[in-house]
Amino acid sequence: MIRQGTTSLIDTEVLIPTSLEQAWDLKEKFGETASFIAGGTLMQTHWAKGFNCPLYLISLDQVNEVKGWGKDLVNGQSYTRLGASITLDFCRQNKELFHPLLVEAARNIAAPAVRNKATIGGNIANGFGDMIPALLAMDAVITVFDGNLVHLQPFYDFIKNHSQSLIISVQVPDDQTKRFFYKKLCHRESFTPSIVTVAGTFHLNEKKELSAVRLAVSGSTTQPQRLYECERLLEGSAPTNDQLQKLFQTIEEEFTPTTDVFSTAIYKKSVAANWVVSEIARLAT
Amino acid sequence: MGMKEHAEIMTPPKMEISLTINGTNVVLQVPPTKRLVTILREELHLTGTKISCEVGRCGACAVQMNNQLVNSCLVMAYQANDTSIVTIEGLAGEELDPIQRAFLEEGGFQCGYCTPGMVMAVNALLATNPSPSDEQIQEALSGNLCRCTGYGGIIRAVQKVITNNNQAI
Amino acid sequence: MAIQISLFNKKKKIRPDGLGKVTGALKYLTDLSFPGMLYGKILRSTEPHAEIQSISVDQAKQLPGVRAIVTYKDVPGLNGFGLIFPDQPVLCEDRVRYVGDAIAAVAADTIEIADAALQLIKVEYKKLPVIVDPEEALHPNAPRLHPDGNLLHRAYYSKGDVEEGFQSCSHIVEEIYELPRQMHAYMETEGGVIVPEVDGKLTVYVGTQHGFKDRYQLSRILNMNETDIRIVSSPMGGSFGGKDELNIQPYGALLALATNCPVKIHQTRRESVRAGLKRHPMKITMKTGVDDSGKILSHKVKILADTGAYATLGPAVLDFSVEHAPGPYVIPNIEIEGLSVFTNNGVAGEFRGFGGNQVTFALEGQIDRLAEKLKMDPLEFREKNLRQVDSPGPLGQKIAPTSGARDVLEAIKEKLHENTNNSHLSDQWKVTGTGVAISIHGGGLGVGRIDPAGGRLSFTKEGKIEAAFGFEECGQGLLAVIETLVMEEFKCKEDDIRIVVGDTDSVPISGSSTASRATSMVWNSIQRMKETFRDEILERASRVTDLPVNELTMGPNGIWLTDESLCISYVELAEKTLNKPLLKVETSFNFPVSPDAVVDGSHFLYAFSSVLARVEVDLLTGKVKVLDLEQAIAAGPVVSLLGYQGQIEGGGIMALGYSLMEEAKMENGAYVNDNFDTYLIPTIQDVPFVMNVEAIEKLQEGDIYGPRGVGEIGTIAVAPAIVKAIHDATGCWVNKLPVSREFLLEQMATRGEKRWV
Ligand SMILES: Cc1cc2nc3c(=O)[nH]c(=O)nc-3n(C[C@H](O)[C@H](O)[C@H](O)COP(=O)(O)OP(=O)(O)OC[C@H]3O[C@@H](n4cnc5c(N)ncnc54)[C@H](O)[C@@H]3O)c2cc1C
Ligand code: FES
Ligand code: FES
Repeated sequence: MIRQGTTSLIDTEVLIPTSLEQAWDLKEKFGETASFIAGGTLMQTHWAKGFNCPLYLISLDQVNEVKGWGKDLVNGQSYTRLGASITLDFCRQNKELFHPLLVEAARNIAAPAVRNKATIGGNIANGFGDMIPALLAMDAVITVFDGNLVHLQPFYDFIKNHSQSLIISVQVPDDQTKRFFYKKLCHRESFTPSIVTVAGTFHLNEKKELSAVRLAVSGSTTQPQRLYECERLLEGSAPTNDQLQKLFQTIEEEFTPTTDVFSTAIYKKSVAANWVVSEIARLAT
Repeated sequence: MGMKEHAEIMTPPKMEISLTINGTNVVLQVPPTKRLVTILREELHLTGTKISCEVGRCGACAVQMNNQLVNSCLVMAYQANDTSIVTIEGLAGEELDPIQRAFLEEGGFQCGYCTPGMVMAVNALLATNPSPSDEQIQEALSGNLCRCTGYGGIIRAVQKVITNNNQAI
Repeated sequence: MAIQISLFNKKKKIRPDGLGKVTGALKYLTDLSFPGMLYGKILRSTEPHAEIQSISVDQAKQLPGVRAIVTYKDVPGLNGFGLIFPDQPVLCEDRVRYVGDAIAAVAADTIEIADAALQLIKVEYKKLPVIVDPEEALHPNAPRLHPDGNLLHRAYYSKGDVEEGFQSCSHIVEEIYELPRQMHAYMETEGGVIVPEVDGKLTVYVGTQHGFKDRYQLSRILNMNETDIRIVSSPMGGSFGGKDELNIQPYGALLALATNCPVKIHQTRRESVRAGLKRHPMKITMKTGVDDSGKILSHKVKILADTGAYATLGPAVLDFSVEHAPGPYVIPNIEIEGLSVFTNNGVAGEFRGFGGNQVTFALEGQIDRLAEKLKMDPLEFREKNLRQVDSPGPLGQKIAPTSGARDVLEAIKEKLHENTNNSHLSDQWKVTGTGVAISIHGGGLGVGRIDPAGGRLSFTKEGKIEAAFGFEECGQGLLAVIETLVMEEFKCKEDDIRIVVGDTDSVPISGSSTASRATSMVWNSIQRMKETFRDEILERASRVTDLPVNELTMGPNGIWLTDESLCISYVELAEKTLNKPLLKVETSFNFPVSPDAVVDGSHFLYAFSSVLARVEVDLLTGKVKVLDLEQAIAAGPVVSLLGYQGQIEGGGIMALGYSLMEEAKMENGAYVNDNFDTYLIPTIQDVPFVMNVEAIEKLQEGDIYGPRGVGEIGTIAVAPAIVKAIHDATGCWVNKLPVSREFLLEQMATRGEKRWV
């Protein structure tokens, strides 16, 4: 049986709706006592830690709207759509379908057996997943359902507002011309929660000037963050050593990670700063 | 106190699930959140699948579900409904699977507790990628902890399977 | 190249227990189930230190499906256990001293009911001040955790005059080294089934490293005759020292007796982390001085070990640390003091390496720092101070002559030459470095300890050569060792042999499967029994076949006429001698000890290792990756090739974890990391893809002790080699494990920054 801390949970019910509306109605009906569940990988780790397991689990497995992938046109631009129930391993394995930044992010999450069940939707919805900085850096948009409407919103608004809507899909621009990086630090080489994750994208012109800079940072105990100041600092300029030094300081000021039992905020800031600066230096010079 | 009396109080909601395990069709009445690892080990006595961390962190319970490696401790009964499961017991036919043979010959195990999960993970890797690179081997097995071998024997075993396969072609 | 063998090349043999392991068919004791079996759960303290004011089980008893609840009132015999002295309550009555203390145990129809029942047991605590720091524990005003105070054990050794020695030194290094609480992290958590038999006896199917000791401890607790208890202890999914002490056995036994039903307990990982033993955290202060020529003159050591709430093997671990503090070096002036101190932290006890890991980390750290001060090559410096073949042991005692120390040093020197050329740098933000360390490690329990060994060979009615030992198969490959040695001795085949281990009802007394002693003692037992056994079996064959005994020899399948033809198979011989008394040869003896050792626990047989580590340090994050890990081991002949290699590689990686990531952190007496999500052990991505092990099989002429065990030696010198490699790469010395990336990053940043572009 699943366990919540040391207790076995025996009366949890699983509801398996077949449409968005049904799923939403069930959630409305049971309110706080119910949760959506996709792969369930994250939720089970939470329960094991003693967090409350809801009485009702609303499985999204049979909801067709959240499945599959494809191409969408948004404001005249081509996007790849990833249904919320796309597994991380599917994303990891299909380099030809998905942007390399997404593939790289997926590669850095858990291990194959977990990735085979873990979904993109679940990774985003929990607010701390390692896909989030990648999606932030890519200027993704997200399609959600809030009971009445299916609507599209910028990914960073969704994250900022801790939205509780049902995630249908995320769309990422098909722009392959941007330079990008993604790095995650764990307490060992892999298969552990993130201490710090950084992701970034930018355009580089012939004059080596950066534009459309997007920088995002997060961590398993740190809220995902866009580094707007840093982006502004880099926008339109060609990085010099002095400017990169400035960038370094700005990251340390702007990034506000938490101190947890295993790492201090100071360390997380240093790593984030080191990484972002060295990656920009590597990719832009 | 008989088994019957407590049944009412401690009886969870049940659902019927139907799945194929190592080629055999199984229909079970189980609580929907019962974990696959418990179903395998306790209801079906397939104890080759091990249990160690119970949260997806070690791979001892790894099995294949619809040809994909999963941690059976993270699969709840309702998720296993209508799937096909292969456990370590389902891997060998008349003869040992070449992976099992290589583990034997190269010392890919000591206490053996991680071995069923590890073998399933190697199997999942080689099924989709018959000649993986070193990095691919490491990535594919990164969710399977082994405390005894330091992975040396496991790596040699996997390499042996790959070499043998390549020679066979 | 995977394993180099200096003397001969042994075939890689498939382990006798291999097939069951790779197919999943082998039943571990936690896989067993019996008709009518109940499930047990143990209620452990929520407080690290408290008085128990009341325990109420009434409500829990009402829960349908609960079959029995036991508390301290239900312990018929001694309410205590412990390998050295029984200071740990089986079930606490009035006081708890750590979060693993057991208060009650429940047997129920299902695990879920047992879990629910635990929630219904009400324990009222009165919190007491929590002692988490051994230094505080030693303060005269500190609350006393045990009647005799908080000092579990003091061990002391001195020779010469250290202070005078320091006077003549030209360089002195004084450092404090801090070592973490490491978890065994065996993949199979503690568990098994305890079955009451119809004849009133009890069978305990639970893994352990010493069945007879469990039997003894259980008989005391249950107030039963030892002979009424049977311990079946193999196979096990790993132990590494962690399952030597009792764990769930007493609870399963009490519940089985209370319900008269088989009771299964299999701890969850979180339960295991909370209750299980760990490696002793130690704080080691070392002051070591050398003269101009690089001779070590004086070595002063203070060891402070946090033994947690109860004794278990704490005193012996400390003795071992003290003994190994001088390492393989000859030093005229030595003073070593060790203190093992009770706290309200998790209980520390036996763990592969047994106190050697901690003290070797400190010692080799000193050696490398001194070499730096002397501007001397660290290997040359070691060589200068290294023990000779006939040098006394670390504490001045007579030991079996050995060139092991020099051999491993020579071997690693060669490896160093080979290794230095291939440092290819992939990235401007990475630096690499190489480090070497060596170690000495005693085998057996040591002088002054009861350390019996023995075994039995018999020829069964079915025509099998049966080898029985009281050792346990924990995964290390004991069965392969026995099989190989019997096959080599009698030239027989796998099929001709039956191995019996892990069952107190059918094995002789062999002592514990600890302290790197099993392989060594199996070999020694067989040496003692082989002649008699061979003579007797040939004699019988001669009588049955009417062939002269001096023309007969043992071989595959049966008895051969001087190697040419099989004259009678073992099966046939057994059939034809059915009416004769069973052919059985037994031996019992003690593990060899030093004739003149004065310090309890010091050793006579030693193994040696040297380690070369090459690391890559990431300047941006402080992350350390071990690129190469090579070990050379001098432990006598290799018995089982795969077993030997596996022990060294596996031990090496366990030590890599110890160096870089493993720490069972406690805050105010509670574990911070309770599972493999935050207690991290190396994955396949953290290890060098290829590791090399060199076995130096050489023994001194006339050495009669055969192979030394290699169960522990592979874990000892890895951490100091890694830390030296980090120093080589970055210039930073690390005194604390696991190596903090944060610390490294800080240190490297203060050493000036590289330009970004
Ligand atoms: C061993 C292990 C290792 C892990 N390592 C990592 C790691 O390295 N990095 C990382 O980021 N994560 C990690 N995770 C966490 C987790 O696996 C991933 O975040 C995963 O992507 C979650 O997906 P899921 O489908 O399993 O989510 P679930 O557990 O099903 O759900 C997670 C949350 O999302 C909500 N949710 C799910 N789908 C939707 C939807 N469509 N709309 C709205 N809400 C939804 C759920 O209600 C729940 O609150 C790990 C987990 C395990 C068990
Ligand atoms: S038991 Fe399932 S992954 Fe550890
Ligand atoms: S063989 Fe023991 S854990 Fe892998």
